[in-house]
Amino acid sequence: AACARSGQRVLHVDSRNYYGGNWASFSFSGLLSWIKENQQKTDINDECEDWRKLILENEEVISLSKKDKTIQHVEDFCFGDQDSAEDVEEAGALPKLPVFGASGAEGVAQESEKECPPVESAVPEVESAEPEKATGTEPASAMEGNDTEITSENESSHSAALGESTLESGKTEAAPSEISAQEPKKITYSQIVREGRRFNIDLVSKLLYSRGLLIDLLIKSNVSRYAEFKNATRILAFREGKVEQVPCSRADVFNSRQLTMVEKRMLMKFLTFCLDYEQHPDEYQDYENSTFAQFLRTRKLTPSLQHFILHSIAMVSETDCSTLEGLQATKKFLQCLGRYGNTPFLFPLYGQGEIPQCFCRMCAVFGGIYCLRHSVQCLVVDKESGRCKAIVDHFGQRISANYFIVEDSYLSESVCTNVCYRQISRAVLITDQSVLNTDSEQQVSILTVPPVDLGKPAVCVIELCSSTMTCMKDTYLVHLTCPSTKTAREDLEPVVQKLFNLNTEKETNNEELEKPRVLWAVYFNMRDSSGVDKNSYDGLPSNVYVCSGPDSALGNDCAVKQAETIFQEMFPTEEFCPPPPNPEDIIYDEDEIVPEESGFSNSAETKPESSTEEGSSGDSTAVKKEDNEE
Amino acid sequence: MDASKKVDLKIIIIGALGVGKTSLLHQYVHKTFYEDYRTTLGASILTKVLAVDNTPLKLQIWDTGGQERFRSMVSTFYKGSDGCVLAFDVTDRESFESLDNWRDDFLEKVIPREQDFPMVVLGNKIDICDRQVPKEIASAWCKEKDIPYFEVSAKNNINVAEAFETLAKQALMTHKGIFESYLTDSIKLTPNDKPKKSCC
Repeated sequence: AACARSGQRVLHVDSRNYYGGNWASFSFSGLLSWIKENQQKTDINDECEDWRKLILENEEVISLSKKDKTIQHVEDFCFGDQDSAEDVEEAGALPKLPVFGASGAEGVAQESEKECPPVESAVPEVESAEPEKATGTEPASAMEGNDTEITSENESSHSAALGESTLESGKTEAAPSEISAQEPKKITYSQIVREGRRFNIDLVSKLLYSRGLLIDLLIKSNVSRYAEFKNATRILAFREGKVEQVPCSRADVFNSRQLTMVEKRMLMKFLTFCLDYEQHPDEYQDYENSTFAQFLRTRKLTPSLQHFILHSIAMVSETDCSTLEGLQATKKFLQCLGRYGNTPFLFPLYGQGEIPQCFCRMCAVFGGIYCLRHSVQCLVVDKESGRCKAIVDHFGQRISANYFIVEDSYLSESVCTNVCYRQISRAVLITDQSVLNTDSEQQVSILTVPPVDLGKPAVCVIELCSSTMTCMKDTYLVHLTCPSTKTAREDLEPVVQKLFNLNTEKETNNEELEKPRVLWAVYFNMRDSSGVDKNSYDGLPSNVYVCSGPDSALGNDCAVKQAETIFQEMFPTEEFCPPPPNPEDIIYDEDEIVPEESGFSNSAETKPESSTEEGSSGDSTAVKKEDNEE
Repeated sequence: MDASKKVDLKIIIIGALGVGKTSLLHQYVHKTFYEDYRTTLGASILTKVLAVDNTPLKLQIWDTGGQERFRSMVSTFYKGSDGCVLAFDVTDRESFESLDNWRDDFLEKVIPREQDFPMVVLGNKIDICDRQVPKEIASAWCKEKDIPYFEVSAKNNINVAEAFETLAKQALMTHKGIFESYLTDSIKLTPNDKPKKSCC
């Protein structure tokens, strides 16, 4: 987007039929397709042979990867009622559904918020008409979708009927807290499937710091117009087997019923000191060689306060974080309080997957061309200069450009042989209750679970309520993240077991009854290609830039910094995303744009897909094949 | 009008490349029309404030940004929309035939709602004599789908306002009926200062 804004001609291609790559978010059925795709080991072999004819004598080729290998160890589990899990299928479940629906309706008829009979006989949602999505890696053209589209048209009218019942069930829930106290809402797997489009499940779990690079960039470039946000409402901690709320703002501390008066004074004093700790070096200079955890022990703080500060506010390692790092992290947290709400964090409505798309849109609005379902075979390099001149796509087309931005996952194994990747362990759960039930159900919470073994990473848990538009009513979407030590399931299941009830109704004992029930879960490892030195990639021309995939940190600083760095390397004299002109201004003549545009603002584009910027012959234009913010 | 009770509605406009979507928007919002078809850069959201049934409305109309060319719309374009304008060019048969695809695409990508999504169809460029799509055929298609149809001309400003206002009314009615709308009270980030325009 930054390039489009600065007058460059940009072409962005992505082999998938969705935006964002590993930054994307999916509906429930979309995610199931993604899971299936990643659990299969098949190689795609639809190469177009003729492309080699397009390569000249003085050119050589760098092939790109045919299949994405960044996702591993995908394991999904359905904890719903066994019967419901069997009966429900994505497509072709039509005849069975009414049968199930009858028993389902009986089982839940007691609850006032249950759906009305019409829903039970409704056809499964439009999702079942989305097999096209599963074949995302093929460059299917949009026109091929005819059959699919006819089906979805029939189904869409059904889903409209479906919607009505949902509205009715919503309305009867006038006193939600009272009803839920009496009878736990029984969400079944089939309901999840039916309401699947209300889910927007992110592959990446992050929050935006209210004073952070991404927020600043969104506002500066005006890309913020394309998105809306919700406040994260609670900071939580897990201590001695229980989930507790962490008071962090002055108001929270003052109002907290969990802290004693003494603790309140202690905490406020410490946090106030942290806010400008640099002004009081005498307070910490003796501990510069200690860990932050050790430093906290020397301050007048009770163990629970130390826990809150270390794990939920600073969110740093007990063993690997120095005093200074911890103080800085605490300060960063505190500075973000109050800008938009009581916590430092915002979350985008509809999920994190919206953010890259917002930048894509900005790029498009400034002339960027977008092609989904468009794969690239290889880069074409001029032997003499060593620079990349063009790409050849899957249709056998040769497209020239000046600059190329490629996301790490598109590079072949040979190019990446020397690269050491880290991994991120991820889990996504659909649950029926919050980990901490309070009077308000609509909470967005972040909980840090310290590791059992010191030295292992903490697990970050983000719980989203339905008003974030990421999950259906009466459910919560829970994301777990940590840097990988083993497979995602091995890393995260112990935490899931501590916080949630994974048993079916019959097996649940009294203790577990209080914990939220997991209705569905998926675990997967995602490659962390952040922080890789460009030189680790073998044989890449200087005008080919590599963009990494998501990193494991909570915020988005890494991606924003990378985008800006790459942009500045390509165009050192251009400003990165200066404010745009009045959005109502229309600029009509493309030819006039280039000289004027350089005076205007550039906008950054966040694109976790591979994109190629196309330059027409004769023009000096930038070409990028990128997969991240650019 | 009680400004504090202004309702924000998101409207999107979709249809094949070159049917006149951007021109229609500009005619409606700015009352301007440019003859040459040029890539419009920088125009992405146009705002129109109007009153419908004594309710002040702020229509946020999203233009496609050209992403319809390769059917590569970002899904964020569809999310949270309250109404949809489907446009085709009466002198271009193919643009009419693709309406089914555009409508399906829209229905597939929006989050399902209680009621049918407000939609209107605009047959643009009626100022040009060389029609390929007869009025009856377009009307029949629309009637079958229960969508209001308007024959319009962005150039001569025929029926444009009526079409948008009809959609606005529908969208407002639907909006009022949505139980969940209170839940999506959200934070919209705005720059603290007005962005400065730089001189060329």
